[in-house]
Amino acid sequence: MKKFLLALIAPLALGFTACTEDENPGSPIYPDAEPRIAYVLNQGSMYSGIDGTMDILSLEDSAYQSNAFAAINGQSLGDSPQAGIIYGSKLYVAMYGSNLVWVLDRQTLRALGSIPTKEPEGICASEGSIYVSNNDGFVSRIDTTQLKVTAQMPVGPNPQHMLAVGRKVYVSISDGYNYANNYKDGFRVVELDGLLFEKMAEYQVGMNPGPLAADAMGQIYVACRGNYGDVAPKVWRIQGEQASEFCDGSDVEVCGDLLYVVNNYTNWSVTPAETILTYKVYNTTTSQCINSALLEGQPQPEAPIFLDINPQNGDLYIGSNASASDYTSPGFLWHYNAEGQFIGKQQTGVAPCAVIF
Amino acid sequence: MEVIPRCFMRLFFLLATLVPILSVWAEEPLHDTLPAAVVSSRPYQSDLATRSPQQTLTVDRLAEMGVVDMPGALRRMAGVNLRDYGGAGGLKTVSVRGLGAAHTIVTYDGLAVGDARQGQTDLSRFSLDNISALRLVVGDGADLLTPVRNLGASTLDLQPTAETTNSARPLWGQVALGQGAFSTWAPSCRLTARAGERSLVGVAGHYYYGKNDYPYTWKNIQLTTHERREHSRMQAGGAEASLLTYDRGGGRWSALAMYGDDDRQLPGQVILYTKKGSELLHERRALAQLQHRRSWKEGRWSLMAAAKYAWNESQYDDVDNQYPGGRLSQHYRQQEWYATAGLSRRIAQGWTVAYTTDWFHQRLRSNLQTDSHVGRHTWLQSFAASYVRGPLTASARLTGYLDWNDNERAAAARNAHRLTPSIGIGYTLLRWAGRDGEASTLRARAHYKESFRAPTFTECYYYHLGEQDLRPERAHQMGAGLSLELLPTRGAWALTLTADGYFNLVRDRISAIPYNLYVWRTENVGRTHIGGLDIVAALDAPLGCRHALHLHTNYSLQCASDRTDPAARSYGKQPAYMPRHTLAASLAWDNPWLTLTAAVNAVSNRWSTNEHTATTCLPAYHEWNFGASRTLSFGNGLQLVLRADLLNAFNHQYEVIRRYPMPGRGYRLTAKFLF
Repeated sequence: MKKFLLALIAPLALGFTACTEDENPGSPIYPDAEPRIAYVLNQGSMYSGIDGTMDILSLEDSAYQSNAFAAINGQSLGDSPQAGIIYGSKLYVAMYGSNLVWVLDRQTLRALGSIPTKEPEGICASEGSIYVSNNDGFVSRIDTTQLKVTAQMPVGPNPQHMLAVGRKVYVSISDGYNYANNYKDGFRVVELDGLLFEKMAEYQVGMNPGPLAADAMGQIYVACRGNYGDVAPKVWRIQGEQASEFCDGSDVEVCGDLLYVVNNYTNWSVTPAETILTYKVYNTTTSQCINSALLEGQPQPEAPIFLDINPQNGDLYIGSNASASDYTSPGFLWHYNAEGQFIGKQQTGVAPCAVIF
Repeated sequence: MEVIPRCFMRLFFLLATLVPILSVWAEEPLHDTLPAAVVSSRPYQSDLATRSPQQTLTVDRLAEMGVVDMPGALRRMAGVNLRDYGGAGGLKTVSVRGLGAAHTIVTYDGLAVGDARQGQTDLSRFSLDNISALRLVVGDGADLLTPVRNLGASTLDLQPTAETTNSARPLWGQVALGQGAFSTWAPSCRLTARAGERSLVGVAGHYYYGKNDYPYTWKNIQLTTHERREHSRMQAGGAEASLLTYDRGGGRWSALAMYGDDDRQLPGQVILYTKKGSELLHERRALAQLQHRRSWKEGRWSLMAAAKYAWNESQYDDVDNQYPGGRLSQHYRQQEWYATAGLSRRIAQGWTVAYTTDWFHQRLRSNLQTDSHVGRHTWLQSFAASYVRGPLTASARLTGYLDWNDNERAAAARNAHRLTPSIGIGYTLLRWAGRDGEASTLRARAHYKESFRAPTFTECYYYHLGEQDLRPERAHQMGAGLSLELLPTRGAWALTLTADGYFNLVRDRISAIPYNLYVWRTENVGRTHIGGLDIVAALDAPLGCRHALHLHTNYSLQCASDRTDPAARSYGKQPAYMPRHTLAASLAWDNPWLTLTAAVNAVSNRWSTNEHTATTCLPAYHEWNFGASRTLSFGNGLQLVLRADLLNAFNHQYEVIRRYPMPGRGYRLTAKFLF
């Protein structure tokens, strides 16, 4: 614990000195080769003037450092971070509101640079490049040595989440701003070749596709969130050339051969509105639901935002707002083991949106 | 596209036709309805003798206070909390005594300016160049015979210039030019003519251009950057024609037709590390209104009637490829038909009773999915009685409200009906000999009022957000105050002081509640308590040899707390953007050469969220303005008024709304030629 706190304090102190990056590149947050921390992204609330933040979570003892990016870099992370990925020695963070991707030193969390790109949402890495989905209809390829966008490809309106499986890069196309026309130009997942940066295939899926996950067999799961009204959220599965509806659900995560499905659905087409919130686990090999009552009887958030899984031990992390009606106070990160037993709850920044492992 | 609806054109021509007809009727002499311009800081007698708080500021008085624009004028009224999104083109709304902007009725030339879509009036559309006075009434005003719709929790009345001009000449007017920092230009003109002995016809026009690209400093933790507001150009123009005449029975007729056009680039909020600059707003509006008042049988009977048609169109565009077709385009068109009539009778010594009824119909059409063809009929009735005898004045009113909603394409909003009482009492506690026939007085007043606001069309119908089952948001106001006017028989100075304490309760507050990450919904969930104190002090101190000092100060204390849910973090806390302390003060020095003014606005710290999250505290600010003016007279009523103002003289960087920086140091030069 002491070692970890010292590691946290060191960059904090350095952040307030006048040294330039050349003079002192910063101390490692974790000195060992094995990563024992994760990064928590908080979106803030742009319209309430609350900056996005990045926190550090110890995976050993759940120690937590809030707003670490600002403490280390002396400036705000920016507006509306969406997602991040660790690739090589760097951490990349897509900042939708600020129109950039931060490039951070994974060891010190010091900013190495920022890459201007329009409304980045999803992010993934493949074949030596970083890929981000731009909400204005493109996927951009970022060169990790030049730290700039080297190519762009139109993929469809409002591309959202991204996922890389080997050299294949997937992006969900939601057409989310076209809700008045029932998201008609979405309904698809686009597959790109990460090496050639070419479109390889397109899969028809449900309405308003978003989060993506892949199992060990290369099957892709995409949560299609419906229209928040009479079209309920569904999880679709892409197997080979085929895509088909798999189960109800609004968010997906995979760990090993387990598929975790969150179904958080409010049907506004009935009065009074009905809300469903369930957590289920499926075996990706057998396609069977092996636990339809995950988290039942356990403390759990009333308004979950995301589910992420620690790939090292399968622990579950669920982010939530402070309460269902409070979106401008610090939220919470709920920690469960792989079986869904509650371990603890940590206060985060405002509107936590992702844990980056 | 239809530029102006045909029915509006018909009304316009009807008004134009009325001008010569009513001129023929005119026989009685004209009377000004507002006090003549005086160089004084003191509140008007009519403001001091009311049963509920009332503040009137004429343009002459505002000039003496160093006020050059509408936001500055609003800050000089106690109890007002101005929401200002910065710069000339930024939205400006007022909330009075913490009740929220939607509870403030804004009237122009005596009739309400309606906006059924958003429920609040953007005051940036009004220019002081066209206003002769602003009057803020909290609770019910002194006039029993007033349109029921004007009886909000508070009423801000903007009185156009033509009505107050009083001249013996057949033709008079003014031409003015304002020029200010950040490339702003504001020419205006007004011409008033006698049409017969008892009638006035006026025409006026104004234009505004502002680049509004003011610099600001942005502090981002340890990083400080010097930025400039971009994409903030505004152009606005307008014209109006007015008629005022008196018929042979002493009846007063006034008619007004107006057209305005605003074209704005919206800079939006400051976004870290980037600038967006893609939003555009184009608004057009027109109205025609006719009002009549008359009294007969030695004033025992009085009649009031008015009709109005208003039309406005709003085109909002956000040019960004994330939207289908590369643009988010929202087009709204609202129309309103309004009529009011009332009758009052003095039934016994000191007793007057009145009945007033209003009907109005509002329609909204838009290119949106859910609030595209909606409407509302509203019928209001009011029974009121007043008693005035000796030092006592009292009034009571019962107001009935009914509305019917319709939606051509989906479920309509819930119809509403309400019955709300109000009562006010004033008493002159002390009265003693003053100066020049005026008495020094100490008066007391108290009032209680229940009011409400109907849900807006946006709150009822907007995609996903709207809830058709909303109830009106209710407000209960109670307050008491003292007013002191000192006019010593020795010396020439005069002091007035008013202090009003109040407690307000808001129930069924309409709030947007997030149900999940993507879906928000409006609900009647909020409850707020507001306690406060408003103080206005004014001192006139002639120094002799044509020197005089005028001091005017207004201070507001607003202690509000959310009482909705004890488990919520916002419980017991001051709501967002509501300062606890607000102070404005000005000192003017009249001398034979110039009138010099110094003015300050100061506001305590605020929060941009109801939950008071650590990073959302907005620090206190103070802004100093200095001005100098000189009036040159050339005889025959010709005058040239020259004025120079230094605004935010100490270049204080502040925000009223988080992420909307206000302009730093600037200037404004004004030349006004009166003939």
